[in-house]
Amino acid sequence: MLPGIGPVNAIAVLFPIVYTLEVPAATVMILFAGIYYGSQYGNSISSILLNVPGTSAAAVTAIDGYAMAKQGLGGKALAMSAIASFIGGTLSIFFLAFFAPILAELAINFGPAEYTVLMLFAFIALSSFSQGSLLKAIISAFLGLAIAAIGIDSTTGVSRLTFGMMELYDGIDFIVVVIGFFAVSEILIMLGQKDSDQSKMQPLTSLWITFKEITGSLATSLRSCVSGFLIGVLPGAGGTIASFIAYATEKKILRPNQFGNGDIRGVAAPESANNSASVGSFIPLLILGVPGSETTAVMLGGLISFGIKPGPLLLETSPDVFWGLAASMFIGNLFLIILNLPLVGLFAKILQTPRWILMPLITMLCVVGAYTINGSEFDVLLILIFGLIGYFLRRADFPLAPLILGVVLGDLIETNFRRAMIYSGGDVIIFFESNICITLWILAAVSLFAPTLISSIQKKVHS
Amino acid sequence: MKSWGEGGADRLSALIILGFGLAYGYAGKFIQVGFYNGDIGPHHWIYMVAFVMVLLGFGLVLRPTQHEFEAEVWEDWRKRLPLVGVIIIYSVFLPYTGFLGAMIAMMIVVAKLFGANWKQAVLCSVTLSLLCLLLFDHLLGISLGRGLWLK
Repeated sequence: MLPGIGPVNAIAVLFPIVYTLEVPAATVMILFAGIYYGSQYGNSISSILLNVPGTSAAAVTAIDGYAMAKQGLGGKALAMSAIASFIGGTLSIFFLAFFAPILAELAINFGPAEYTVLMLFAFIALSSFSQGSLLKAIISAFLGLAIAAIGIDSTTGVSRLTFGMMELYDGIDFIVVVIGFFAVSEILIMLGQKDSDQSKMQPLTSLWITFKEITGSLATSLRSCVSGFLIGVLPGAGGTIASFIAYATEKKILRPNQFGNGDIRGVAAPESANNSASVGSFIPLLILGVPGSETTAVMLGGLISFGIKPGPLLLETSPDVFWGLAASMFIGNLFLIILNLPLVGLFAKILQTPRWILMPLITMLCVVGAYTINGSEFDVLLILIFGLIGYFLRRADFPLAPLILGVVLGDLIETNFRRAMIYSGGDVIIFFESNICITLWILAAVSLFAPTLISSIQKKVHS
Repeated sequence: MKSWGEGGADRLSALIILGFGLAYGYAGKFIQVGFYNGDIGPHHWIYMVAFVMVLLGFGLVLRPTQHEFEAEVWEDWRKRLPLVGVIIIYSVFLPYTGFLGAMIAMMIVVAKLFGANWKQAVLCSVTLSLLCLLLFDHLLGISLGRGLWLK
């Protein structure tokens, strides 16, 4: 909800706490998932009342949401946002429960070569969907792979790039990387920014929404939920693209409309789509072990840290994680609507927390979080180093999501690549032999061109 | 606002990436390769990553994006450097002073950097640090560093 502090930072600072407390993996995943989809709704509050989207996925909500708030209909926009989020989030859970086992059956045939190509596909998809240059996104991914290779090699037990430092023998914990690159770099960026203009915050008006307004937006919410889920399943696509596409589609379908000038359906479409996409993104994460966004990449790292290996066998080996998560999403969505509507006034007040309270608190959580992982001051220094590197990377327009993916998947991709090479006797043709590999290469090629198409849709939305 | 000009910043970033790739590959030479099965050993992966990074670095030198990179403003770094400094000092002094002392000192500086006056900074730092200690150390049983005198 708070601009600049997205779900990644929230998960990053909370992860060391749950890790140290030895909470069961299923509970941790439920907590992270709650933060993830809860933040999708939370972002709408700052988008609608302040016209400051907390994440890019909420940017579309701000178009009509803020326009409604300026007309004195901010409460109505927030209520619609909650209802559409509930519809999108809840329906997509049924899609998840239906499609995940089917995909798991298909994915059971994956060998090392298929896994390597799958992870390459994830890298390509996430890089090509990242904002800015594709070349920079790939460089960012390789920086992640470079960090992941530090420490003891899991195949041979040989230490690599540790320079005799005992602290590096176990490798660099991914959460240290996440806290450094995301949270600390964000603090450094915020130090150069002026306080956001709270005076432009629109007053919170009545949340009362009529039955006619709900039914009038129902079809929009349902359509956006379906498209959002399908987009969410694609690695790399995620909530931002889902909300843009849903908004553009509805703008085209619904004639006449007031999209851009405070149409309530312009709030329903992106909110339903991005909540649905966040549920959809759990399919590649849990069934293929391939995260589709920076948040799910952090979640994957968390699952691996807890000894859970996401993949096609997850439904058999850890059904509690999968089904527990699905059930928690339903309950979470229900609570989202029950709690958020009465408490929205309080949340709006939290938005006005002065930075001199908020930023020291975040700095403290970062430092404490890094320290508690291993009880080592070295990790505190590492978050600072990564924070500085992250700051310069962000200033130079390098996306950080591929870097996190590189860190999380680095060991897996290397192990699978080496295994595949051993099976084939060093022949790279193994990565092009099976039908699964060929399909994945085709999907990777498609994902390279998809952003061009999507950016033209985004331009249309903005115009 | 001063700017690095078209592509200038990207070329600089590319050269840093290129240099990093070369250094990374060179560091791979010192991996003590033990037994490994097949054609790919623990050092080959390092070489592969380094090689691709060098290639990508070259790519960015040759084809920088049109992204305009605003030059760093010294005024902003006058705020950032103290933050960097206090985090270093925190990690150095933590084993001696313990969590509470080191954290209160760090938080006062951070709160001041974000515009608090002295009274607000001290109040905010002491309150948050005590709450953090209470939550982690006393309620959750997670040690945050006790310092020399409490060991």
